[in-house]
Amino acid sequence: MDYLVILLLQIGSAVASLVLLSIGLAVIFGMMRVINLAHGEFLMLGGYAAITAYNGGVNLWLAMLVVAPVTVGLFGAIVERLVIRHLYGRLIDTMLATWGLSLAMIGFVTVVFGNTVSGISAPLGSLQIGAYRTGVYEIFLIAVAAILMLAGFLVLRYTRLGLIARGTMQNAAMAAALGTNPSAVYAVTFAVGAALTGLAGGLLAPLSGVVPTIGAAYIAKAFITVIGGGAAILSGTAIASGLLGTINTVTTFAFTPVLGEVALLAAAVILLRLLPQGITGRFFRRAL
Amino acid sequence: MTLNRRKLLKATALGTVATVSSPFVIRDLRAQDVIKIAGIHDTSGGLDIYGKQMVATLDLAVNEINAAGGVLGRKIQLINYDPQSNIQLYTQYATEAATKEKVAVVHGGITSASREAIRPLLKRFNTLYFYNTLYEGGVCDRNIFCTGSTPAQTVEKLVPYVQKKWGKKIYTIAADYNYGHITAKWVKKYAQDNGGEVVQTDFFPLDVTDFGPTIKKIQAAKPDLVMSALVGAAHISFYRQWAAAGMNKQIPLASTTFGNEVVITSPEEHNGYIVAFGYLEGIDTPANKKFVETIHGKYGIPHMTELATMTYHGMYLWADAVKKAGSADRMKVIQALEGGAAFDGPAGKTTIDPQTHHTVLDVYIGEAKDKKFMVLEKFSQQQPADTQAVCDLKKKPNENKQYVIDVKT
Amino acid sequence: MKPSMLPVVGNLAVLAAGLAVLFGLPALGETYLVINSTIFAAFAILALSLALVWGYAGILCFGQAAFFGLGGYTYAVAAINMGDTTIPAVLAVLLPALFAALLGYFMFWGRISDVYLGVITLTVSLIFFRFINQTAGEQWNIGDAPLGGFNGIPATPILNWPGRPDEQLAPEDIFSLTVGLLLIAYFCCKALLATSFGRVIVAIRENETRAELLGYDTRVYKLAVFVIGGGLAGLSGLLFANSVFVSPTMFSLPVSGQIIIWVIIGGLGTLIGPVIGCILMQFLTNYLGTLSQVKGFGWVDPNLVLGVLLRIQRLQPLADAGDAPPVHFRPWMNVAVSLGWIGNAVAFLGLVAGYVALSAFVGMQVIWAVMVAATAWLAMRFVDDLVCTVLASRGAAGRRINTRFGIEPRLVDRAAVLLSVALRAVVALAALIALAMPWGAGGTDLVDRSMQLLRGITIGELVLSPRNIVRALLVFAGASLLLHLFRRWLERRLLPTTRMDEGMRASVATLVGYAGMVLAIAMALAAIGVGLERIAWIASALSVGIGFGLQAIVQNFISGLILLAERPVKVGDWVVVGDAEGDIRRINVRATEIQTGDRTTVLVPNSELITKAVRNRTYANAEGLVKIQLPMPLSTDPDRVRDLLLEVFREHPAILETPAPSVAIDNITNDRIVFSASGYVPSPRQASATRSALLFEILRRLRAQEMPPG
Repeated sequence: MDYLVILLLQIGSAVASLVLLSIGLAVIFGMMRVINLAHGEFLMLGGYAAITAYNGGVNLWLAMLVVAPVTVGLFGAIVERLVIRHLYGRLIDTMLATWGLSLAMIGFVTVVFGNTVSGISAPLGSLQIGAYRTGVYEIFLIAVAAILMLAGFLVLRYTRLGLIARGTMQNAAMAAALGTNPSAVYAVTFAVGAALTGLAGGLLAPLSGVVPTIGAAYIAKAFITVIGGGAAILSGTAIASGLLGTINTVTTFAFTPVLGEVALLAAAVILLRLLPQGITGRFFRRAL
Repeated sequence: MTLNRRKLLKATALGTVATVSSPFVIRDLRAQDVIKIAGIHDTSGGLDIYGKQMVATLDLAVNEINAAGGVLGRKIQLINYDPQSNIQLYTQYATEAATKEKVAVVHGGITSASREAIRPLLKRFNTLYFYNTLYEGGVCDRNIFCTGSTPAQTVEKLVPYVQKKWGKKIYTIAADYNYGHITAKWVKKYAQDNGGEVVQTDFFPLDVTDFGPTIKKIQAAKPDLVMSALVGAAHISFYRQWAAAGMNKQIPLASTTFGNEVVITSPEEHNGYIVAFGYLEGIDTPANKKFVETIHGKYGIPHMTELATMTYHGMYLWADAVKKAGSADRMKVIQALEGGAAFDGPAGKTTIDPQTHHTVLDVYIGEAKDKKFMVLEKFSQQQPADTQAVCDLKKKPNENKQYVIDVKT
Repeated sequence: MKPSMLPVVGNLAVLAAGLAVLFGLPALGETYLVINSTIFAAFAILALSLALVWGYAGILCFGQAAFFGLGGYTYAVAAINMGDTTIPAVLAVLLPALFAALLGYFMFWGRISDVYLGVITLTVSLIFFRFINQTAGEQWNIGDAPLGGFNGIPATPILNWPGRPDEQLAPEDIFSLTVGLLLIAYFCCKALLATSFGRVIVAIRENETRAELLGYDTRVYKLAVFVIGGGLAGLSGLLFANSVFVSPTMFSLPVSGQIIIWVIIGGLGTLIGPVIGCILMQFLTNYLGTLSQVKGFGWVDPNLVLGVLLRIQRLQPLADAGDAPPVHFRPWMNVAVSLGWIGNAVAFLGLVAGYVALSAFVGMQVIWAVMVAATAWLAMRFVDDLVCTVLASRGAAGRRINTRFGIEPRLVDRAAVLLSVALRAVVALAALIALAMPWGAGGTDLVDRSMQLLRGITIGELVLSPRNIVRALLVFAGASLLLHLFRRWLERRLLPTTRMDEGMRASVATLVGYAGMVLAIAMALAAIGVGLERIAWIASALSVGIGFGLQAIVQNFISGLILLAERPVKVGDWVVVGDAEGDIRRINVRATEIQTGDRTTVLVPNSELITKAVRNRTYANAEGLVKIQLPMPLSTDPDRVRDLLLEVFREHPAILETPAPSVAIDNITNDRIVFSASGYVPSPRQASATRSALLFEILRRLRAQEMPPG
């Protein structure tokens, strides 16, 4: 019985980490169709920001929940200004420019921080469930992911900001005609997406540590989840994370971690073959 | 203008390809009264924590030898290459070192893959090769000297020690490549030899960071201790997640690979872990204390593991052999080394085993405490038994391969 | 040269270059160069494959590394099992092609394109990577060959002459084979693209729907190109296996990324571009690794350099501003080219005559010089483009600087040009150093010398190093900027909320400006090392000179300050100074601008305003007086006249209520009563206009009431 609980917790944790990884990218891709290949590096930057702040004496929670997103959000705003702004609509070019950005970020962080940074230990201790112990931090992550989703839903659905965002997403020209400023919306969206990514990076730092090259491990998963999810930001990410995360965890428990990863990737390929526009391209089309 | 630029690119490229050698060729015509040696270590990319410390100790050794007058009255010139954790650059730099710079010896290679990429090459170009990193054993090649420890030396002492301390049931987690597989097999063999058992062995590719399911599985198996042969930056997450689940207070852990991780993890995460290496910074001899001080201070390396110190030993072994042979000629140096060469250094005494070209070294069992390792016990002069079982260069000096050591459990 | 001849000439040039390298390099170059070039050429074939698939067919395949790795692994496994390497070599090309066919069918028949295709191909190569990485155990042996997992497959058999398994190819032979295959592959691709098949491919890239509507089954064509690309990548993997090592990193993401970078740098839509881009990048990565020999270059992380290169490359399409024709280059370029030809001739003759070393030396020098010059030229163009793009006044950044900081476009342009020149000078200097390198001026020597220069020249206690100067400039710029912003904030936000009037506000702002400027200069000088004490010295020394020579100016300046402080007159007042009468427009440091009624400006030195008598009509915001004198006949009713006058005054909107208008009788003469009516308007300026309007109204009413003035 407690094995089942543990399994469910593990699935929840895997889904939550996928959600955290991809939500920032989903916002950016869903809004502006910009493929940000530096997404992994934004995560890495968030992790470094949190760790540096923590090592500098800032409270751990502040470092993870405030410093990380703010730093990366600012950085994202700058990047949008300098780079992305000129390349809207040029899908391939944004991909390549952000690729270069990711390389530059890795190089820069390596030069500044070197390849090893002492990390943070996961806070909150552990919990005994039946015969098993699990870290409370994992449960915390599930909670954070859920809150983020809820907050995103509330913002998009009920606030004016969300309305403007959705309008610009659906038809930028019409939104502009109605008086919003699409480029300002894009700038804010990119910054928000970057901030969310920074938050994810900060939150995931205690679990996996941060090295400059850690972005590469995450980016494939994030991409697959976002593109598998389709155009809708929230529901797409949620459904895709849920699906892929479950497949991954169950296969890992049943076999080996490697097969779990392969199963996730294979599932993604099949998903894309059957639903080329992502899940929310076919189902839940009108969802948020 | 774009077209013009393309034309220019073409012209430049043709010129570039042909001129690769130009400045280097000219530079080469200068001073001939040094002995050139090459170091090929990754100082950038994922392996740089290892590469940087090895370059530092190599540099220290060369400086010390030069300060004492060099070898055969000539100074040693060290040429460092950085393959940037990219295996193809290993091949290129090894070729360059051997054919262009014509070095007397190459110290280099961190992963087994990089070693295997350049070993045949250096043999073909008749350049002596020192591989100073601990690895899975089995290389049988007269042109190479492997100074690092092999699993039979460290695991053979570690497993009984921890079994006596904690219990007989072991759960092994290892990195999924040759080193991990072979270490896991040795663990099983020695565990069984000591009346214990390995309840489960799990392998993880080098970039796995999510160990959640595994930690649950370990708990389900209820072993007396966990034996870790995890390698690399991603695998540090295991130690973090293990501590996050509070498991490091529940089930003790021993490892043959937990080295630099001691600096990166926090004391709450790693206090109490037991390791076995051919070298630990906590070795309490004056020579080692001075060595550690110099590397930490002058070279700025925060923590050293066995591979760095073995690089130092390897350099001195070569230099002493050159002095003994009276020449830097490859075959003469090999013969000098095979004649029972030994060096007493920070890691204790290292002796070359002529049968396998591996080393007989002191093995230390240590405990992680507050970001350092304390030495618990020392075992002197352990033979490289695993390689000795498959390789005999005295009988077959023309061998040129790496045997996969089959551990009979 | 006729344009139609250009492609032919281009092809011939490539062929010639290729043959030269093929036959020349093994003979002239050292072994390591031959081996390095083999690796470069193997990668070049890989670049070629993506150039074909992406550049010409528009299929962005993110997983070309998958076919590359498949080729290498197939060859290794088959060769270890079979012994003779001929069949494995063929298999190494066929198997990836087959896999490409499968994958292509999967994707193109599913109408997957663009981003999704990239993601799928990326995922596929990742699956391979993950999968192969965990094949370390014995259960993963295929026949005799262990897949080896992370360690890769050691001891891959080298290619042997077909049919003779014991005779392996020497490194020089492998080189020839690789370069030969590269040339053959290149020309085959070129030929393919010249056929109608090639044209259809390009058509599909341009507009797939249109190609479909024209009757071509785009899926088949795309599949065909994809398969060819896969086969080429497999060939490259086979050659790589022979010159380097078969390991799972062949499947990894960085390899896929590298291929894409080569194609970008070389250019989409050409075949030779990516090939050259690949070779250049390989050389650069190689060189960066050896750079870490030189202390101090350890901070040049290869990723950083590549990232920056990629970024600059991305900005290129934006730098489309009209390029100045390099007319002024011509003369010395011709000279340089001639020198080059002479050098070539010498080298060739030397070779023929037997002076091999000399000819090699001269040849190398020429090539080196050309390379340095070309690189420097490229670098300078890049720098110029970059700076001008970022700072162009027409560009977004420039316009933002204009609107945000109020700096004129011309200034921004000027700054851009200056910056560009400075950077290009640095590039030129570096190029000169590089040119001098082979002649014995050791690179480190000149680097040391320039390092010394960087540390700065010491004049007494003043250290003029570039760092200090830059720091001072930065401090000054920063302080000026802060000052400017502060002033604007004062003018726009703070001062309007106070009770000060316009003139007072202008005065305060100007004073703050002066004070701030002095402070900024002082800080800048402090940054350079000139402390305030030293300035005091200089100030006292100067003050003597000032006292004598600049008397008048200083007098005006001080008067100006007094004007601002005491404000006997302020901006906007209507003053009379001597015979200049008008409104004060500006109070400057030395003189004050007065705009007269006929719109001319009189510049009155400030000292005059202070020392002479000045009539200020609007001092203390005095109201204007409107006085009307109205002579009426004796017979008029004075009360009626008074009422009328008061009414008119009160009804006029400009007349103030307080002080109230009043009517008085000035004088009674023989036949007249002279009324005088006075009222106040807010400002003296309105007095005459109001007076006139009042008079009109008064006359109208008087006429209406039949009381004409007498």
